[in-house]
Amino acid sequence: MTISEISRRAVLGGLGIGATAGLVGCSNDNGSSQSTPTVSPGSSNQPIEGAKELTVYCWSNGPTIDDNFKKRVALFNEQYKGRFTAKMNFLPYDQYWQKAQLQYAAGKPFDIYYWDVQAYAHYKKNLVENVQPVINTTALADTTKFPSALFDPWRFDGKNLYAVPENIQSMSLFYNKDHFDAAGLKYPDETWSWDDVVTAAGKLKKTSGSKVTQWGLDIGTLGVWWGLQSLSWAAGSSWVDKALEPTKFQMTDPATIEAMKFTQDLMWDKHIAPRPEERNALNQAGANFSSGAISMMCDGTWAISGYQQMKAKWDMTAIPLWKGKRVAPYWLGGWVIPKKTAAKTAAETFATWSATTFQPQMAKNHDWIPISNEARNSKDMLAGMPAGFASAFKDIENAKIGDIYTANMQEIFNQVFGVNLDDLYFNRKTPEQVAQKIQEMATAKL
Amino acid sequence: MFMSPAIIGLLLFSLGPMVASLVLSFTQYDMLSSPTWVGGDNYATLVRDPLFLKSLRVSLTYSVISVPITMVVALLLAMLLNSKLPVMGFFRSAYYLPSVISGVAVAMVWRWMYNGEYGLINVVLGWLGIDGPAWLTDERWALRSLIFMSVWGFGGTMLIYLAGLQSLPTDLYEAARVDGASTLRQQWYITLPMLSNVTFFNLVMGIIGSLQVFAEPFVLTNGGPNNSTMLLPLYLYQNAFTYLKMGYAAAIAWVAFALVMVLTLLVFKSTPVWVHTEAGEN
Repeated sequence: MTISEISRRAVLGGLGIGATAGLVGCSNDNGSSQSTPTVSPGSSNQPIEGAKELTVYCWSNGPTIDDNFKKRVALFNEQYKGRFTAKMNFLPYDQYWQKAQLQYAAGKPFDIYYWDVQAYAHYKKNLVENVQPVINTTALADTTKFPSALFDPWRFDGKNLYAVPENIQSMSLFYNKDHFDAAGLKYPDETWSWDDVVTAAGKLKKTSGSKVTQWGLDIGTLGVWWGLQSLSWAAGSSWVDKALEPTKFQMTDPATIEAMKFTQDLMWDKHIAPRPEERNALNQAGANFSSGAISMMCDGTWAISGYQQMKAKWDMTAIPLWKGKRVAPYWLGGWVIPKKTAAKTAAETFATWSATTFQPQMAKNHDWIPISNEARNSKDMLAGMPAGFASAFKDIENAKIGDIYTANMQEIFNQVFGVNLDDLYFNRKTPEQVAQKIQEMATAKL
Repeated sequence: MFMSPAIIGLLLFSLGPMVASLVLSFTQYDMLSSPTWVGGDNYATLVRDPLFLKSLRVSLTYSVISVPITMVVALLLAMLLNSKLPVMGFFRSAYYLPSVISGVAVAMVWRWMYNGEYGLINVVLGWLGIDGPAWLTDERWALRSLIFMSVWGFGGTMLIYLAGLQSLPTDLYEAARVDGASTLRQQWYITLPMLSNVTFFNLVMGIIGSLQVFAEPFVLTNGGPNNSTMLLPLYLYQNAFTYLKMGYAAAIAWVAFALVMVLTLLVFKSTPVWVHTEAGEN
């Protein structure tokens, strides 16, 4: 079914839910001077504040996802014909945030834009709308239908949401089924620990002379700070005392050092995963999981739509157990509405519509993973997805946010995490040295 | 009146932004809220910022190695291309071509050539039994790789040398040949001194250009690995547009400007020692 074939019943049903929730009303206790809506955005009896024309900003995610975004906007326009007209504007990621900042500086912010951690700085400067009153008028406030506890990291003031969540992502183990079949190995599943992964990776690695022609494992996103932190979480530790405005880093915790050593050893001691130089060379040559050069790899669930184009058979499962436990990172995707948006009602309508009415269609699109429990676990969602998708999301309620929210987090990511984790993965420093260095440098920047 | 468009353009698009950036360099400004006056804090922080000091070192290393090598290669090729052979027009165009290609496009080509496993350079080295390094990801080789790549853009310098060579009076060479001077001595005692003013120009432009290199490290290494290719303009860019530290970035820009000024002045001050003038004075 294409996006244009979404049933009218579903649309009306969604609107109905929104309207019903709207009757419940809400209280706005954030102390802001914003109006407190009692009618769900987009309802025909709601007065329109601001322009009817809305420009939706997002960074480009490749042709498939971009195309779905355009279709989403087309559907929105169809459903709100005569009331709102939206258009999409894609920017390359590295220009997206510069443009957002420049627009704020010029006093003409985007009407609405897609969230990433940089937007936290906009919240800190009191530039973004408290969307809690709006959310309270929609089905999104229904804790039985949405994983509301997972929204908590976005309640920056402890009470209110400052972005409208519409999708969720996590991290999984992806594997090439053809490689496992050829090696006569059992497929990974949610019972696998990292020890099982290491054993299988050793058997899957193939060489021709001195060249490795097939790697059993690529550390993938396990090598990113949040991937590595998932091992610390499983071992009962964490890199920071709290994700929102941390006051200290806890890098020298033995659990974190052990996680670092494990990851380093995958490349340097066991060498079942390519070392950074080998990884870079493989990546530049297009030899990766998609091309069949890698048997297993941790990656974000946003990679699913890209892997759907693979020739080889593949599947996914939950990230392996570490110390007998598993705590995956998760991220919320959603919409930020500036306080000075030129199209307030249209923006609120688009954001909440995306998070509610549009969810079944998002499930069918298989690009983003719906935030609605029903849509995420629906037949439509699971039908086109790899068999292990459900197991990857089974424990999502226990996942932890894969972000750290401080205004200068980008600086810490690049100048502290990036450089020092490079030292770890290039085997230039021991895990103890890297942990100590991150501890000192990151704490100094808090 | 006829000069006014140029003057207005200069004021609006050059001097205006320069003054604004100077003022900004004394503020803390993240584009999201109004600038806050912090006096000389940004400059004081620069002195204590290990990454800034490293990027300064990287930039100077890049400049000190890249500029002379580029000039020598450009001069040698200009001498070869100064021959009166009919095919020289083709070679002049061919050697100049890399200079007119966009820096990003050039960087993408080199990115492939530098690939540690499948890149052209390591494949050729492999034929010779040499296991080539990971050019862009090995901390020891990344800056060298950028410098080597920069030499490829010698076309502009070569063209200026070529123009200089073609303006040299031939009677000096005829006299030298009559006196029995070898070709090498002619180049050493006639060509080089007579081209010294061209060398001076190329040196100044080379220094300025090398301290403004941005596209190549941005595309190839983004400052890594371990900040070993964090040239000053890249560090400035990161501070301005990734970390939104506009005031700090403006301070970096002014330090970079001061650095270029000082180096250029040093070159100017040294001209009496080595630049030959029309009047025959050093």
